[in-house]
Amino acid sequence: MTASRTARGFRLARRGLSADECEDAWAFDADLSRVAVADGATESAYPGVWARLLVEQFAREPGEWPGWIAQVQPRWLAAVTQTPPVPWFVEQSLARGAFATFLGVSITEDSADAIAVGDSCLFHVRDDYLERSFPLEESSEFGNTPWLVGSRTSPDEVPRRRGLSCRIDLMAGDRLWLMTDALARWFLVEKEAGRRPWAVLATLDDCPDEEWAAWVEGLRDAKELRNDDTTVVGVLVG
Amino acid sequence: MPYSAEISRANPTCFLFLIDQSKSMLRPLAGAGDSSKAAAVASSVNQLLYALVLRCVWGSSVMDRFHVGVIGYGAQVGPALGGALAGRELVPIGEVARSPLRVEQEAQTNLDGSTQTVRKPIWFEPAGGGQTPMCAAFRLAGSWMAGFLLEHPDCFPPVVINITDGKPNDGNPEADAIRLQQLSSTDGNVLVFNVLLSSTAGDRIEFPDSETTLPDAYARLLFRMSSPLPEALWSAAQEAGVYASPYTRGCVFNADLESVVRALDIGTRVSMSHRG
Repeated sequence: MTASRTARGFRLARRGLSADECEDAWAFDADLSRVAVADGATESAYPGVWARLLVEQFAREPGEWPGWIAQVQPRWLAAVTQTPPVPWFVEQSLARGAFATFLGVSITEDSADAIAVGDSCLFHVRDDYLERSFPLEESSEFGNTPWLVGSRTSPDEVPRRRGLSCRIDLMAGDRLWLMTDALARWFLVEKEAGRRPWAVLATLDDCPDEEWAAWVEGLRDAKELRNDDTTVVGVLVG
Repeated sequence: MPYSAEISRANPTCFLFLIDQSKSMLRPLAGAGDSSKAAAVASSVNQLLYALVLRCVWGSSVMDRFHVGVIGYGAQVGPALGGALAGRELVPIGEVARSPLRVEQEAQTNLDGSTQTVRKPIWFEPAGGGQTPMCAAFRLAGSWMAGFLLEHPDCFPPVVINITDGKPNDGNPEADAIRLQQLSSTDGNVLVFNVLLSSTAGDRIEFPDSETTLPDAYARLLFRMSSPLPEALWSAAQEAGVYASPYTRGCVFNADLESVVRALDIGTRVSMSHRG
């Protein structure tokens, strides 16, 4: 019998932008026990659309990595293609395509398989202890140029060559936290300072979105969190 | 921490290029084939403006995260963008995108061997005539930057890149350049880069960290006229193959085409670490 899993996700655009300008995306499918987050790169074409298509495809239609990305690419193109005349900068931007980090986790009976391109992170917590941090393990590893999945580049390039995978053994009561880079960096900085960021997140788990938003804004005010799109998904293994 | 302000539509930064347009700029540039220095620099500036626009495209619009300007100095000193932007000082990048002087068609070869036509906008034309009134150019830059900083007091500090092939004929520009460097936002001082072009392939010196290793008094003067490279730009410099230390200054000597492109890239890559 498959263990029950519940997930709670929260997403907040960087300050100054509206919710529909947020370029992060997350998706969870309870029946398939698949969850994903993606962080669209601002300096690319319609990154929010690309991030959303990636996570939805991963969560709902399992396929072999990284081949399934090729199925999503035409959908991005169809969604963003414009009627001529198109200004030169839109034409060039669309020709380069969209880019996004990607983190997908597929949960089975007693384990989780994760695949990651870029700096969106997975944290596995058991009994008030951080068991695993993937793919980054230290806050100093965050840079300005993470590997990204492209909407017009072959999945055999960056996704195949730079995608990292890991398997995690699970027990009932474990929690998985998936997050995009801003909050993931905060999480690792807190952990490195000897604090327990997972405990803070767990207290927020059942809160309404407004309380999550207030908490994130508080961290931004305190300069503990970069003003960037912020997404977190918590999965409780039942 | 300085040089960490977010660059956004609400809080844009600016890039200003000071381009030597004296007569000697019509001579060839090392590493640029038969191209004159003026033509090679104009092409690099157009290519950079193109890249800056593309970094600000959001959907079908262009976010005004940068304002850009070009000051030419030669027979005259003044704004040097062409077409609809002629006579304009600092221009929001969205307006730059929509107002090229002309759009050329360029054939591009794809990875699979097929070719396609790509539209290449031109904003800035090569020019060469007269002498080298660099002091006047730095003073004009100071006045434009002071105006920008009044309007955007919390901006990521503006970057000014001066590209020249010779010595000024209107005095010693050191004081004017230092005054420009001393202008600041709440996030740090204006950054001044200097690039000295060479007609002959020689020993280029990129981003030096000491005055004493430089070949002559003029190089040492340009070193002092250039800002120390702030830590926020070190990773961009390192990605371009330049090792940076706290003493590194934003200057290049005996520059060929490749080092002009690299200096422009490092000087403007600053925004890559700041989304928004």
